[in-house]
Amino acid sequence: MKHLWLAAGAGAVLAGVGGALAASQTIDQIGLVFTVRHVEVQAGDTLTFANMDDVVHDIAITTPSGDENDLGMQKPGVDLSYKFDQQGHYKVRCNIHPSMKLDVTVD
Amino acid sequence: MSRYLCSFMIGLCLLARVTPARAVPAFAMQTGQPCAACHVGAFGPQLKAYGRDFKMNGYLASDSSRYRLPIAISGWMSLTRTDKNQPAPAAPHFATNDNIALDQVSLYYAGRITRNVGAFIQVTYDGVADQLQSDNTDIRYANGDGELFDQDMVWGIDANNSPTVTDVWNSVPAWGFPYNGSALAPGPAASTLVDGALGQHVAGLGSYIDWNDLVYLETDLYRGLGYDVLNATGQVPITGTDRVEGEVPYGRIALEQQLGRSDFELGGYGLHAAIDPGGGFAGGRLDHYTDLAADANYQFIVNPRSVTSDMLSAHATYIHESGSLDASADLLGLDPDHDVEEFRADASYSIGATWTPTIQYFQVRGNTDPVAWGTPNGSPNSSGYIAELAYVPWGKPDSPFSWGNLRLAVQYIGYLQFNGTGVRASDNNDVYFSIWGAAHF
Repeated sequence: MKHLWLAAGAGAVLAGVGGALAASQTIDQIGLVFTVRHVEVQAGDTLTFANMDDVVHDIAITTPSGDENDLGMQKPGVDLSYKFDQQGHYKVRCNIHPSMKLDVTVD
Repeated sequence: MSRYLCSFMIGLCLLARVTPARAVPAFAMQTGQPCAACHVGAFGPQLKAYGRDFKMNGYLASDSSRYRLPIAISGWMSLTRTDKNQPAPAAPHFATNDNIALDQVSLYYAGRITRNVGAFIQVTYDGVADQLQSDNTDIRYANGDGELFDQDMVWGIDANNSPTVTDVWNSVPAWGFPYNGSALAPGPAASTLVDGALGQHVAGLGSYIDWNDLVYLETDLYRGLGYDVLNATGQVPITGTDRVEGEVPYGRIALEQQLGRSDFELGGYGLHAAIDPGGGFAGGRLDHYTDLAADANYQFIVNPRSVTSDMLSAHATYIHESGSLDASADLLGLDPDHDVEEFRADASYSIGATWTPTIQYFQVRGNTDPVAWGTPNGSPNSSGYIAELAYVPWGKPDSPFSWGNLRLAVQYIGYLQFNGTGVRASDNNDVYFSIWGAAHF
């Protein structure tokens, strides 16, 4: 029990230093949509997009400064990752499926 | 009969070997998606949610690869057999029964033109009428990144040549079941203007919005095409045919909602038109028509992760047409008080995007008028059912090629009432075998 308290205390200290450790989350693509419409992350965090459909996707990410990054063809079963470095609002879209819309806010 | 069947089956086998294809395969080429991603049963024109999005967003979605011009070809041939021989040949150069026909061969431009402009343009050779003609045309500018009241909005501007051809739901006449049918079988005498009568005889401009995947609104304004344009686009015969006068306003509203694995739509559409019957013989008097319709759609997908999932689809529409036929009353002696109602409802269950059985009930009712309908008792009332089984071998993610598809279907139309009477209505029942193929270049 003592060890648990120590671990919890260490986690709190790490969280308190401003999210210096980058985190990673996975967003599923199911039924030709993202399973969430909006997500908030910290600068430097990585999102992984998991194609759970049986057709290809083509993710394009627009950064807060307006640059567009095309992650390219994503075959069924393939995961693609992207690191969100800039603070602000990103738009994540699929070039093939217009209803696949994900907004990412980076704090 | 056996000779015809033998020829038909040989034709099927030859086509199956040499002309495999996709529904509008140019769209598949542009998006890198199999037919089953957009279409119920892996073949057009019945749309799934993604197919509706793709059309509403202007046929623009692309997998960013470099492709050639989005040109495609499709065609179907058929055998039509009615329960009893028709009193006269079904069409020039055809028999009174057991007709084999090359129904249609169509060429398409289907896909993106510029970053925000896309098109579906179809030119068709009608093998029954032996006529090359313009067919469905839908050119649109679309913007899928709009916002209204902090919610997503798709909006667009559209040029087209047929009321309801812009629609994304398969309850409306331009895209409703049956998706192909015989031009060589007898049919009900009455129908409404919005039910295809104006198709390719008008040209219009419109605009639409789809707000928050909840509300769809569209308005269009059409004008009738002149005889010279109709002649040039193969819409013959022209001389002495009715002519659309002035503007034809068309409106559409739909409420849509996705709940879990189900998609719902409830809406309405309508138009008003003035027609010069006979094209100038009525001394300036006109017939006025107003069509108002309600429609509903429902789709349920069993497994959203797979584009080949089993899928239940249902569509229904009710159209009421009222008219004041002052010109036809003077010219031909028709009853000036015109009234027609149509109702159709169908349901299909697509199994593995390969086998798709469909059943439809239909009904047409109208005012009693022997001159207008040419029926023995003056009634145009008809009702019946259509049963169809379609088989589509390809158009799925694991299909051996991506450039083509094929649809084999058998369709049976049974009449409970035909043009005002139930007596011998079944003489007009018909069975229709068709093979429909498509490919992109």
